[in-house]
Amino acid sequence: MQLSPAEISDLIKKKIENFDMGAEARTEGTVVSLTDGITRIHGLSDVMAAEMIEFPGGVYGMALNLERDSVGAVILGDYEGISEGDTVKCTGRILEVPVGDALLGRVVDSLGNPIDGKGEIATNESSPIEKIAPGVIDRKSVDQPVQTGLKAIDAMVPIGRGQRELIIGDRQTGKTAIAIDAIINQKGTGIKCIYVAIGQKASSIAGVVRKLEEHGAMDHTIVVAASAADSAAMQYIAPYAGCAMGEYFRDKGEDALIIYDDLTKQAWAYRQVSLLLRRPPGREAYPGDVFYLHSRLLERASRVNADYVERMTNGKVKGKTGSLTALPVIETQAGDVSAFVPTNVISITDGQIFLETDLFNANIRPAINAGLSVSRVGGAAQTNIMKKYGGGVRLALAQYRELAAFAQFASDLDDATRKQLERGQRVTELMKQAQYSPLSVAEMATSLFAANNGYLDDVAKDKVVDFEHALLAYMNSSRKELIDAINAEPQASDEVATKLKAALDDFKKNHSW
Amino acid sequence: MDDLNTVARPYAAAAFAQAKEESQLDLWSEMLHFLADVVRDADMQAVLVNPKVTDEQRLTLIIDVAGGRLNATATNLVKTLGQFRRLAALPAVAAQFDRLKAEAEERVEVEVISAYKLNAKHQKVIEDAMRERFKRDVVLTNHIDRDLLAGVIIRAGDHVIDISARGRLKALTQELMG
Repeated sequence: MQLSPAEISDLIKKKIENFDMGAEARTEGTVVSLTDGITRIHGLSDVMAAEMIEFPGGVYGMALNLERDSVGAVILGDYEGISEGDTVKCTGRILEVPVGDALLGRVVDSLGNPIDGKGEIATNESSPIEKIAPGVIDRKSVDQPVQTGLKAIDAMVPIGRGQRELIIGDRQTGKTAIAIDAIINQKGTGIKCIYVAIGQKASSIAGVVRKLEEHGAMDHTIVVAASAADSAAMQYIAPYAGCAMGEYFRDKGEDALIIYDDLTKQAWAYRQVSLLLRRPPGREAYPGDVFYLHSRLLERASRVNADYVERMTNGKVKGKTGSLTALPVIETQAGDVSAFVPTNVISITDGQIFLETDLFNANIRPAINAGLSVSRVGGAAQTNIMKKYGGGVRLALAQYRELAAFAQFASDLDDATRKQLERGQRVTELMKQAQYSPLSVAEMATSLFAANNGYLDDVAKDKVVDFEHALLAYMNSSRKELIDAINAEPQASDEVATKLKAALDDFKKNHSW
Repeated sequence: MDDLNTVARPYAAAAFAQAKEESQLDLWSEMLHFLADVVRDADMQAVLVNPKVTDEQRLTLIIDVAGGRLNATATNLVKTLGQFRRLAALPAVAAQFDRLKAEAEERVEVEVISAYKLNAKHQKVIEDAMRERFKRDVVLTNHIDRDLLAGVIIRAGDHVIDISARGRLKALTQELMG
């Protein structure tokens, strides 16, 4: 029999020493019924809403329905051992999860218990999973960028620190891929990441963790996993648990990025819990508060000002703002964005990245629909150089789409139209980017500069991707100092433009692709 | 059980109001508990759920059994319960009546489970502490449970104060198991 590292006798002795021997004064109740992870409990006269309640054998639950004669609660974890007539105790605590730096690099379940076999998590701080979002006074406007490392996003739908940007699309359109790339690109930026996996296959979650490890991104990442095998209650609370972990960083003046993958499944889990609790069903059988379910979660992603951070840290951190950026994921069914949950989350968030199956199948990856994707606040946060060079891309693609439909009927086109079509095709090609290969600001700026200034016009359409590869390889080897200078200070000055021009001229003259 | 409590609530409230008007809380409590015992009886249960027995027969049977122990108004309560086919709720009515009575008399029933019989001094200490805590008169009953090993469990309604050796050992086990 194998002993776990926690079973060393010294540690056990310490635990016994520190064991609080105070008298336990609690209210008790009795389990009246137990169905599908939902119990009805008689008694518990002092229970609070969302309070943790304790079943025999160390299983916990959360009180959700407080009624006149009984309490409806969900069981968090295994409910095989619980039977009718069991005694239930109040704990006097709202459901909370451990938070802190020690969680980075770990995979935990919805209650913050480690599930990666790396032993206990060394933190003694915890935070309630449900908290009210910072108020109006505590906030600061979004004015710093989160670089996802994806050209298409950073140029067309920029994301700011503290923004909520929805990633929406059908299944198999690369939603998770964008999220994972964004996490990988935060390496070395100081932005802590939290990846909340809800209702996914355990194998997919393991795959994501492995990819993050491969790219050295686990060191700044917490994975909160509520797989499809976990109970609906665990899937329902997972985003709130992840959010509490992210708020810890925000409240101490750091930046964090949280990904909820995906909220559709969380809404399903909540629907299941609600229906079993006999709450009345509404549209699509969701309960009446499904909008609030997501709005209160996403409202907690915010940028907070220095006063707030100072107050939250009791004056330890001064003059630093904090942020929690959220990238919720929604899976649509056959592109139906007017379904209940997608419309809700679209209206809550500050913009959306819309992914399409057709584009994905046409090999345009990331399959971002440039027309429907918007960012309502990110523009203010974009770096100067991306704003200047990326602005033309959106326009070129918009005009291209308009013309492309019309040009199918016309055989000969005038010169201007043809030119615009060709420009559009090339920009579309340029926006393609392989997975797990995020680009730096300078690299993106170089590519966009090339497109804006006609360097792609004489490159064959199907050679654009190769051209870009060769160009970036050239820039990173021969023009390293320029790349570093732009990354250090991403300003679109005349000097930078001149240097980029010189580099591109040299590349086109002396290199092949 | 849930449903019966809900059903019983208005009946208990009405019975309590009536009992108060008659100033016969103790008598009513006695009557209701007797009726509850009658309804709980296995043979009576069989009659209550038997579809061949008419409502009329059921009612007559209960009133016959209870016989002289009910006063006129209590008989009326049974009739009303029978009329709405709520006779099964009588135990719940009795329990709720007692709760209302205790509330009105500012009294709380405290059950002390101990490993050994409490002596008068300990009993007094617990009584005083509970009086302080609930701001009520305390009626204390003592039960012995050797399994506690030492210490006591104090129980008043939903409130439970566990200062027994067994409770602490259980908590320690859980702490060590993580």
